[in-house]
Amino acid sequence: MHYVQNTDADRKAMLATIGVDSIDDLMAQIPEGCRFEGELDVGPALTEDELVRHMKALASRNVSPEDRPSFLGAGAYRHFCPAMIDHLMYRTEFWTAYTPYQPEASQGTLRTILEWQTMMTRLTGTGVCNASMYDGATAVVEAVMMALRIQRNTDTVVVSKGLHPDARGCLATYLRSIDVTLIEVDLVDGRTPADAIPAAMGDSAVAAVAIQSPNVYGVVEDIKSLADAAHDKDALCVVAADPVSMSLLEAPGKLGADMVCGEATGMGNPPWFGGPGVGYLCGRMDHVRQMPARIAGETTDHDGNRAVVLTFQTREQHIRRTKATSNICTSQQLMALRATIWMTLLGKEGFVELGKVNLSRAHHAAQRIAALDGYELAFPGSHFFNEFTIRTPIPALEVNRRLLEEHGIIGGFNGARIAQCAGASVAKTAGAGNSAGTVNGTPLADDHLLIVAVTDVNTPAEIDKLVAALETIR
Amino acid sequence: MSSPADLKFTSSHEWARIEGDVATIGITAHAAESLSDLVFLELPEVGDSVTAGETFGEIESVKAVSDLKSPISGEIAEVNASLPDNLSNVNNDPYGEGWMLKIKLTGTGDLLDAAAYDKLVADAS
Repeated sequence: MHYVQNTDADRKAMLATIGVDSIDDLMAQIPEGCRFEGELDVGPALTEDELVRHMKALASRNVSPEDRPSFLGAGAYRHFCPAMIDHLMYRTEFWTAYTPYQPEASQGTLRTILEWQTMMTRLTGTGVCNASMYDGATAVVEAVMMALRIQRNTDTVVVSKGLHPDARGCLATYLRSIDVTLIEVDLVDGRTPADAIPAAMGDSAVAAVAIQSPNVYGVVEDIKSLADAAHDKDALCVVAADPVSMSLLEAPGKLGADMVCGEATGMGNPPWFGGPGVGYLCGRMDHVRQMPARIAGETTDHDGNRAVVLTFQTREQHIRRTKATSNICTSQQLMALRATIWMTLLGKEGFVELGKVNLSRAHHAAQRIAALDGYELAFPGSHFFNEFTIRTPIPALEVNRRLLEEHGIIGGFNGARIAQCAGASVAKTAGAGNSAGTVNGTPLADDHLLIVAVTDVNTPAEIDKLVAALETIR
Repeated sequence: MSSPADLKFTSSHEWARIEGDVATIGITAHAAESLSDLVFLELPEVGDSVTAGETFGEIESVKAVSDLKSPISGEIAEVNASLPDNLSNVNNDPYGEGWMLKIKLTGTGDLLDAAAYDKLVADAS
């Protein structure tokens, strides 16, 4: 039996319909040098039973944070996910990744979108949230694109190097093709210095200043000073933030952020395979017309009953595509649903409690690692939530390798990877060549930095194991 | 109902009142009535230039989103900035309080007089 069940007769009929004699004739326009000749090296055909065994054997070689300690974060954080989330997600009513095409027929789905929006606006201290975005990086890009539409006659965007490298790289890719200059600002002592904002802007008309807090090194930024610096020069302030950090930290919207956005995977979603993620995008109500994607809202039906509608369906798919605010016309509904259930199950107090567990475990781990010979905190005196950066005595890549091979521990994020992820696509950079900037005036060596995430799923025993392992690695 | 005789019209239902080298533009009573309740209006800014036949803004009602097309070419001298917050003026007084832009005129498109425009509306309905 063939996987694609076209019979010879089917193929013949299809070829006849389009007027070619054979499959080879159909492919004739592909240059011969580009065509694969011979047999694909996939081995002999397997029975279903053999294939399942083969795939299981391959899958068992994966190393997963499910079965060994992991301190890898860098934008994808693990938090406890109650079993209730899986149970509800797999209900057939919800089991689609898409916002529905006949939205009002799916009142349950719309209701969950409305709840998500409500929770996210309250959490971020903003006026409006959309139905979700693909992931954190695209959410940041869409926030900046929004700012460019709102701030007419501007051609420059200022970005902190503390912004996640995926977002920086994604932004550079977008902006390159629309003739907008991207200026990156170096970190000093782990933070984006507020006085660097006007310096980077110069005389340019700047649409937005984009920062992240906690930033990619885990350091909490002074959002208020940075937002003030942006506003002083008539720029909007885009803040990317892990929403879980808002369990304890002040909402960016209350500190002056015009758009708050980022990755919300950590809420109710495991890191999966590094995706699917779920981006969120919140902003000011007076900017809602420039917001991409969809917004659900509540109304009453003709009998006066409460009903949910897609209040704001942007034009991407249905009409007027040339006027689209974005090429993103959907949402990450299933992941956002998980996040919504997660928040609901935790409740207000449980959410804060979870934040406290993250904070205390991360700070406990940081203190103990910093006390080890050869290890120290890269940004002493800075504030952090559940992630921090340590300076390693040997390259972080080597530390991670030995943690995994000798101790069965998945280490942190290698600082050298930040520059690699952001790519060499940035048009103009304001200063030093490294990613981590300077500490006490001295540039840090990116490859000797390890970014360590410690969350509620890292037990004290795991932290003990990590500290004991690092003691042997130098 | 006949349209005001002192105005010129487009087949896409905008009007222009040309006084010397300045033209005031808006949308017609027929357009406002067809759109019914308006929810959003986006207008350009003073100093922007507009071209006859090309889009200068957009208007959204509970029924549809439509482009606004300029009857004339020129540079925008004045914008009815309070109109987006008082959209009922477009429905209630399309040729008065519902004006949208004043434009320093450099050229006009293919415009209809009131009689021709009324015939166009009558033929279409």
